[in-house]
Amino acid sequence: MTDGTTTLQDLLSDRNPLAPLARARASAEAGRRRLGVVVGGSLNDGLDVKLDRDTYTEGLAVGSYVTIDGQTDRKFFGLITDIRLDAIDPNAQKMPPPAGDDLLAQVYRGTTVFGALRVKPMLMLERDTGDPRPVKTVPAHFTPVYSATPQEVEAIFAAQDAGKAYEIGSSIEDETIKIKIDLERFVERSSAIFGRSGTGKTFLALPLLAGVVRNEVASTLIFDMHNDYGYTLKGDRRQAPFKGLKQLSAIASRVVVVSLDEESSRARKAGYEFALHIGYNQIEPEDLETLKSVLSLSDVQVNALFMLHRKFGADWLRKLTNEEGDPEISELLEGNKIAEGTYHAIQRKLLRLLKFDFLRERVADNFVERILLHLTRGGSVVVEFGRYGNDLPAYVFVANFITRRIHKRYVELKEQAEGRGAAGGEGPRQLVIAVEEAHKFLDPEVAQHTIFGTIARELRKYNVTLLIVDQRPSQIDSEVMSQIGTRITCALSDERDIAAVFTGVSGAQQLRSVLAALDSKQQALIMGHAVPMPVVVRTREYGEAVYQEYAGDRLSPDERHARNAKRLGRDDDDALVR
Amino acid sequence: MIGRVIQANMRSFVFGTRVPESDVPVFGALVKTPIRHRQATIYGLIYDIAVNEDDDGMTRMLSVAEDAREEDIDWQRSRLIPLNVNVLCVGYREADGPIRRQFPPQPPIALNEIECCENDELIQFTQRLDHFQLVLDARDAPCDELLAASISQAADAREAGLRRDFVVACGRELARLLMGDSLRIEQIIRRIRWDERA
Repeated sequence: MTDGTTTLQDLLSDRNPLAPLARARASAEAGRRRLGVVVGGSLNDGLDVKLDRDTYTEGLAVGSYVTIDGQTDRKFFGLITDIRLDAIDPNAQKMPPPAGDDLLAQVYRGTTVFGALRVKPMLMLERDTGDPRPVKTVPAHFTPVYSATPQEVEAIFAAQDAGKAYEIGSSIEDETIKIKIDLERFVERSSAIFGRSGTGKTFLALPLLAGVVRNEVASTLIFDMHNDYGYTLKGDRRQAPFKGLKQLSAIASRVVVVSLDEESSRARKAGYEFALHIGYNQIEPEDLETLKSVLSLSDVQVNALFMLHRKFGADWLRKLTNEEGDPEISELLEGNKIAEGTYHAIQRKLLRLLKFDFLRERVADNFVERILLHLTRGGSVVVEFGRYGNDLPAYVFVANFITRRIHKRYVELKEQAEGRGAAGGEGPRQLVIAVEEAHKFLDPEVAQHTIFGTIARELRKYNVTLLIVDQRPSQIDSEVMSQIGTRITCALSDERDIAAVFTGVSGAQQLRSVLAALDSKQQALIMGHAVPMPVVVRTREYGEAVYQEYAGDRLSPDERHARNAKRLGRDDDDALVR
Repeated sequence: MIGRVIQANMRSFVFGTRVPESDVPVFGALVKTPIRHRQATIYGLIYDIAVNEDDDGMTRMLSVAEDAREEDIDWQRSRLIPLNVNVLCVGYREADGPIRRQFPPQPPIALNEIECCENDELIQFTQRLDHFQLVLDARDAPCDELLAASISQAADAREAGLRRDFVVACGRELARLLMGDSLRIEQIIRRIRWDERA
């Protein structure tokens, strides 16, 4: 069209990918493929895009990126959130052309009936600076919409500091487009990996945590419920086990595996640094309060625990669980300080917990201190639960027990650093606590009481954040959900879970269809703090290629020297005489 | 030449013709007539052909005569009674300028010569389809029938391999102009006929 009138040439060949004219134009536009034009919409609800006649809806996918050249030299970046078939005249849908009437169908396609997209604007790129900025306006009517080129997408995801970027996967449209997340931002706030069972959450979390360790953006404490992170990661039945963090050479020295179940570790031939034992004298009522629902403890019974602790101090649990009856406890019973029924109920319920081998009446060493020491020095710890992983009270108790103490210490360290003023630095090294089955700690009823709820709500104040790995986000407290910075979501099937993932994310409802369309394996929707805009990725396959990357430390001697000096808290100059 | 203009206005004109029956222009055919303004040529589509009654009533009498002789009928037919052909103006062209598919600046004047457009000119005229709107807006013409007939003829004027594509293009333009009124589009498309033979 040159003078505003329609030519036959336009009608026949316009943007038809099979027509020579369109091919010439496509190459002239440097690989950009025109999809259609903006015809309506809003910033909140997304843009309506009418597809050109020759744009095949089958060639588009929810979760793909498009670019829109604005009138003011701005380039808008958007995400396809819905693809639909529309019609100017509803009669055409109710009375479609008879079978075999290709002519009428050909006439209708792109005119009376047409394909349409819903595009959520995500970012605006200023042409002069190229800086991505939050989108605050929309392009005008009839602005052409193009599929984003690999270069455009890569430019958006090219993290500022390549060293701290982690390649989490590739674009679902083009495997050559690598999608990276900013690890520093990822650990800065609590994050989550959601997905129903079998979607590969652990296969996603393990290399991600390896990336965190290798890039030294944070220490990690992993509560390894199913013994997947430390030494080996179980694959499908037909597959050989995959390497755990301890087997990745480049980071092995920085990872400590702690076993809660030595027998299981030995049987699995999984090496471990030390076995974790907890003494009765180390347990506080707060450690058991979390288990209120798991052990069916009533409020009265929980209050009795606190009372006993106040009265007997560190010896309270030994006295309480003494099956032969403790004289001092008997005194309490006789004085009606505690009801006999309550006492026996508590004893019965706690003995269920205290049967675990890792709980001992007296423990000489403070194993939590050892874990803490390792974490504050920049190391990472994997707590393998062995057979106790399948025992919910054991898992909840240990995770809460360790985390409470670590959090307490981090608060102290942070406050000390603040007390030292500017010279005191930023406080303790950033710590990420990875926890599976997180809804057991963060369910609305217990989230207020558990340390995990506190950490999730406090955010980065004390340099401790969570990495929640869970399959039931709907069971996690909404207040906690709203504080999660980065959400990596694999396929979910329950509508409530899908809705929950978007809690606290403004304008995210349109992304629900994107999430619902994910493949059940190796696909994830990432949104939040660590990515410039929501993105659907084909996650990297965990296997040989990743092993190769972690085959050895790639640092030069100088770099290694500098890193060691940094870990030891020394200036580079006074570290070693070379 | 197939006739001369009898009456005209900006939107349409009528010409009289008495060519042999086999050469009578057909409904939907593209015809043209010159005007003096900038040596322009007006293009129009035939939308009605009427047989006039003779002044002396001979045709009326012959039509009811039981023993009308063939030679009397032939004689009456040869009395040069013209057919009135109504044409809808759909475009014009000034001297060597481009074809414009809109109303001409002036109507043709009486007794201007009318010619049928040859295939080349018909193809050239239908390279663009902007005259469809003029046809759809015509008050007196049976516009849907007229469009179907003119598209059919323009398709047949093309090479066999291009005919279907042309009809599809016309259909799409109609769909656009009729705001997707699928029932009406379907009616028009169904009336279009073209020769699929090479």
